[in-house]
Amino acid sequence: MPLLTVEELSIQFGGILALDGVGFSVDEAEIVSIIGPNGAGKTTVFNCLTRVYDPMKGSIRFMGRDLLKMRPHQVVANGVARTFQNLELFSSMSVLDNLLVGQHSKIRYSALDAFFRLPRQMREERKARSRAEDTLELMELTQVRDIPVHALSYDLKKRVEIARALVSRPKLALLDEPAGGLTHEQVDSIARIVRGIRDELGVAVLLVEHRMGLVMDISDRVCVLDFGRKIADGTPTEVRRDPAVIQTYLGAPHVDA
Amino acid sequence: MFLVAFPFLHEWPFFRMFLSEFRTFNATMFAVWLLVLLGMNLLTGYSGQVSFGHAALVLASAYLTAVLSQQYGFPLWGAIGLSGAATALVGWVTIGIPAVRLRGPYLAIATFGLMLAFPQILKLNVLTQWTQGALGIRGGVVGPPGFLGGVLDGRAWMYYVAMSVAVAMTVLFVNLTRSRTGRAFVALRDSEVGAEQMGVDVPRYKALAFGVSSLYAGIGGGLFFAVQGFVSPDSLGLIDSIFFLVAIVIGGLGSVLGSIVAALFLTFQSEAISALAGFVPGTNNLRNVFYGASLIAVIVLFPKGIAGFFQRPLWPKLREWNLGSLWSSRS
Repeated sequence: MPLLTVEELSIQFGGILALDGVGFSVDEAEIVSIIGPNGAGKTTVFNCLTRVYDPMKGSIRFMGRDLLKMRPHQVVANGVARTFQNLELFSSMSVLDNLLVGQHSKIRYSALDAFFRLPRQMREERKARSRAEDTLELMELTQVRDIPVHALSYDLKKRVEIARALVSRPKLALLDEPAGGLTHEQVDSIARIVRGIRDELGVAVLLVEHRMGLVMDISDRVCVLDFGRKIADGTPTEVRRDPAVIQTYLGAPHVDA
Repeated sequence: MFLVAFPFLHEWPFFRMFLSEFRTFNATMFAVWLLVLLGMNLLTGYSGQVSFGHAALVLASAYLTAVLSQQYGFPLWGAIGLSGAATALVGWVTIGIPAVRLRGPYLAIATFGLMLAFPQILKLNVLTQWTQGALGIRGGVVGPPGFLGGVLDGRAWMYYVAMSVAVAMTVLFVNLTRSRTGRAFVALRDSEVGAEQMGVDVPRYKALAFGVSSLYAGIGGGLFFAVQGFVSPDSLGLIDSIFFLVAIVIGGLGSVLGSIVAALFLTFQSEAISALAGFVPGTNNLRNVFYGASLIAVIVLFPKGIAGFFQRPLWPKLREWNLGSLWSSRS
């Protein structure tokens, strides 16, 4: 059974169908990419998955649970973590603190434990810190650990976004344009990182990305959206040969790869 | 940071040989304002919710303490604790939870409304049997317990009580801000959607920030009555709410040191401005001009507050240049 199953997902904004019966699935430790022109509904899929938006109809099942029954803050505790295309980092906080907030649902103590610094709080904080350190090391961010995020370069911020999602040890990571705005070398390191997420951490990845080279290179499967509809679904090779996809991308037979 | 306050405890009686007794009262009021402003800073500086109603919370708690201790025979300290708890509950449930739906200027207006209404409510006839209407409530003389009677006068005793409470609650405050809860407050200020998607129950935490903030305002309010020995509907008003806000911005938002600076500011502002106006002869009626000008100067020179000025330029540079290079050479 797949890790994530999305069926018949539809949502409307002011009379426009942003998603129209979209369905796809993600298996365990698989990299699935969602591609499509601007406004095709890619980020909207993410926002439905993480409950920012309420779809009109459709179902989202993750590890046998109905994600649509959850409130937005409960999604991450169930094993789905995300990043944001336009960075939603906590910019005044240090990189380490960002990763501690990323574990908010994992850390178990009350405000009262915090007030009086009870043993339970100390124990949980120690565990959270060591998980954060591990993730920092994995993402090669240890050097900037104590620097406030607003002072970091753009590509480092992008990496903190991914680290903050991974630190909660999700089963599925939703990465929204992790390579957007990066240089060629930086895109290569993102490719390495995303593969590492799957191969070393065993985490499935759902990727929204415009860089076709990256998508075709690392995806196990690709799902193509256009105007809120799914027009193709398959391995990178299959999708590249799909007539509907070629049509959407202005007839270019080999998309940038 | 709270260590800064610690030596005062020992040194104050020593300093009293040089300083007038009025300074002890100043220091006591500093402790009271510190509590109020820590609460204000938690709400506005940490969790990013602006309140123009904090003076109403302080006033409410001062009244509750007055009524409980003067009319119902509660011991004063018990009454303060109870009032603090009650204010926390009111702030959490009846203000914090509805306020969750309000953001930025809308929340400011709602709390402003509360602030406008409250003093008049205190003067309502139906409440006069408790509040004494516009006359206000006078407290009894508070002295130290018997065994300290020979060592401390009432004023010094009050100082020690207020300062101990302030120091203890500052420690708790630091604990809270360095915990999962405190981080959630700052996170939802920096990015609400980011915080929510990282698992922070945003409405719950916004209300909780209001509750904890009200607890500090409440304890401060109870002590306010004890220290002043008097409370009336005009003891605190809208202007004080605005001054609280000014104080934490000047001191430093989202910082404990900032709250301490803010409390110093609030305690000594009028005296400092008078002194400033006193320097230049014939400018006594220009006090507010001096005041306004110095506020503008501080905001321009220290955009992150006075505490921000002292904390910022040193740390990132030290870390980047020294420690940062150490780490990179190790890895």
